[in-house]
Amino acid sequence: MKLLLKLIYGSVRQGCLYVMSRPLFLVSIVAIPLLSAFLMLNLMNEGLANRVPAAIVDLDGSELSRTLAANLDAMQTTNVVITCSDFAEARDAVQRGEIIGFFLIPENFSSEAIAGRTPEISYYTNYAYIVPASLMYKGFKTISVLSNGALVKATLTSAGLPDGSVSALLQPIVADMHMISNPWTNYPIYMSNSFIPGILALMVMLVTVFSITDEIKRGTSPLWLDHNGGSIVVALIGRLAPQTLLFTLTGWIIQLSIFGWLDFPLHCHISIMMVAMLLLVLACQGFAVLICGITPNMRIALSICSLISVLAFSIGAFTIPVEDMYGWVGIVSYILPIRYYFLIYIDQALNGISLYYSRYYFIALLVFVLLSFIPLFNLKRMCRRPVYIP
Amino acid sequence: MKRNIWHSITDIFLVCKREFHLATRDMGVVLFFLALPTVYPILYTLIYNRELVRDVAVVVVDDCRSETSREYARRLDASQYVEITGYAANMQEARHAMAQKDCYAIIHFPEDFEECIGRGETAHLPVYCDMSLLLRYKSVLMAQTDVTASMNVDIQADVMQIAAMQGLSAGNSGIIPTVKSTSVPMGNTATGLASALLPGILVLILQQSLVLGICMLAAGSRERARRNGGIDPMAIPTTTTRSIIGKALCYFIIYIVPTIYILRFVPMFFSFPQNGHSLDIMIFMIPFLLSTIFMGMVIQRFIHERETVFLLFVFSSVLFLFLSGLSWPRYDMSTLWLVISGCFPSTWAVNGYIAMKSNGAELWQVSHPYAILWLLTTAYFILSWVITHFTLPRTAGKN
Repeated sequence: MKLLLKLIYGSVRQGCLYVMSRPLFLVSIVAIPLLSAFLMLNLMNEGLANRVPAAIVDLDGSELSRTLAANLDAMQTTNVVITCSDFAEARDAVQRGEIIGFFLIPENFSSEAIAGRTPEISYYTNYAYIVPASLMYKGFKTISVLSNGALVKATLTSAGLPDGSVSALLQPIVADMHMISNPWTNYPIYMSNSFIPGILALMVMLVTVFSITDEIKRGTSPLWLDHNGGSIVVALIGRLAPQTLLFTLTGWIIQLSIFGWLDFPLHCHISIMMVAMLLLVLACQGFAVLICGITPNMRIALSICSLISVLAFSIGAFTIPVEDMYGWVGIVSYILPIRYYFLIYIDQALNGISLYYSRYYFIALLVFVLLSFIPLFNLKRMCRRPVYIP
Repeated sequence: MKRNIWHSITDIFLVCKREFHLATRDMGVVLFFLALPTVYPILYTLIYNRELVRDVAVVVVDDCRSETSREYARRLDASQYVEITGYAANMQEARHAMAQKDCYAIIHFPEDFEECIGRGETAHLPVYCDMSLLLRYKSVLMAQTDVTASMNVDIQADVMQIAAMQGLSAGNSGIIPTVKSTSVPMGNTATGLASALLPGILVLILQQSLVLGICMLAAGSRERARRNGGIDPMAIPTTTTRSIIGKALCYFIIYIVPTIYILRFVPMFFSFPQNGHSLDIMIFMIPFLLSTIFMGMVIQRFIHERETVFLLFVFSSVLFLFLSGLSWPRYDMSTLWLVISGCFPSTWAVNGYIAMKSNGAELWQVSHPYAILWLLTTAYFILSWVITHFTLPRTAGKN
């Protein structure tokens, strides 16, 4: 037992020296995740991408249409940057990317509305940019509903209906939307808790694969095994433990800046999220060891890990729900460690529900660590007879 | 003079030929140059191809138990966006269902729901929506807005009828002035996520695979040089300019087919927006490919080993996606990020390609990004020349 501990101690010491041996590792483990986090958090600093650039095409030019245009500009979601004289000019501005959409008030709008001939306002939105387009749609829709309501209300009141019942008549049912935990529909909240840990997970996998297969590439793996008493488990613990520590510390710094500095919703104790981060790092390392065990070729193992981690940003269901993917694509999302971290985040930090509901996600992360033991015999075999295929 | 030009051309040709030989015999590079652009677009499309989020599970708590509340729930269930998966006896039970992820929204009809409508007051209907994914919330919101509007129209019609009977019809003419409004989606008429994101991702795949391949090839050459006392035996001895142009020509030729496949055929296979002239798009892509190639030649300086390119470059795909303005609009970026994002070819190519392919712009309408792409080509060419000339180990017999 004492011998084993001594062996592990020596191995961990070697692992520390290995991480320090090249700037590449510190760049990959600390600098890249932190810089990416800074970029994303700083980029989306504003919260909501408000003030979408828009245009107005006012073919009517009446008092009513000018009021409408003024209301539109006063909206929080839209920013009228140009006034176009006709449709073609506005379309050109959309195609050039100067505006995301425009509001078209037809000729004789005011007179037709008063005469009861139901004129038609149209709003054009460029859905090629889906986030600002959705926001702009909301603003345009509100304006047209409000203008309609104002017209109807004025007429009904003048017809003799009491004021209170006119309002009720305009909207007999009002649905009150309660957006649980994110009443601001703040977009960066999701991005920072899925994409930033996603980049960290990507780096964990790549660095793990690299530092294991590096020995095979250089042909030093038999020596590496001998230094660790011929035990692949001891060798891996020594190589990976210092990296686990560094990655987890990086992850915690990111978490502290998200929850502490930026004050994003955190409805559980921070320690739960910190444990989740540690488990995410361990699970990703386990996943990477598993891939190395299956294919100890450095380039192929790195390719597989890159493919999976980059696709994880889409397949991990940060934006579209798993149930809306094709069934066989959706299944893949369950073999990604980052998916479980995201689910823990949703349950604990965002919604603050009981830990009981997230129990399986924690177990799933642990399972990744256990799975890594399965193909170790193959990895050991390859370490004994290293072959490098470029 | 004439002889010199002839020398240049043969040298460039030789470099190009040798680079082609090296690229096609390196499995890693073949994977980046061919397999990645072929397979990735298809994988991405398969993930996003369902476009919309349909049938989000909703649980109803009906304390009113009236005809109106049942009618509301029925219409909600009929909407394509949500599906009523069950009724809960009280809010407690509904919240448990939400925590179990059996539903993502709760609709609670209060006891006096129908009474309020009958009395001519506004009836409030609380909807609780889980915010774990914005797209789910969007679906719930759409369904709820549509159903509320249609219910309101029906209730209004009933009331108006009564009002008419009481001789209160609007004015003497009986006309209620109304304004109709129509929303016209442009570019991505399906308003789906795939058609919005994929065109940009396609351009990014081109840039990333090209840079990865270039870096791996260059690192391979360095590894050979390290084993050979500082000289790469496979390199053609010539001047820096000829070597850079020869290599760039090789990569450019290799990338003609993937570019046409990705930008012309992939959108066709999956029926993404397909406006704009193909010729315009291809002309637009020339400076994009060239600037990306020269950018790759600058980045390769930092890659010392074939495999380190994975560690140092793969993660950037996500950042380039954000910087391009596809998921976070460019008009909302600070000057710092506008300048930084402007340094990468993908930013301009993504926006230009979307303008043409989705919004049907012609080449002259995207002249701004087009001009900047040529500017980047020049800048990166000069930078790569300086870096190669002054820092890389010299090839055998270089004069």
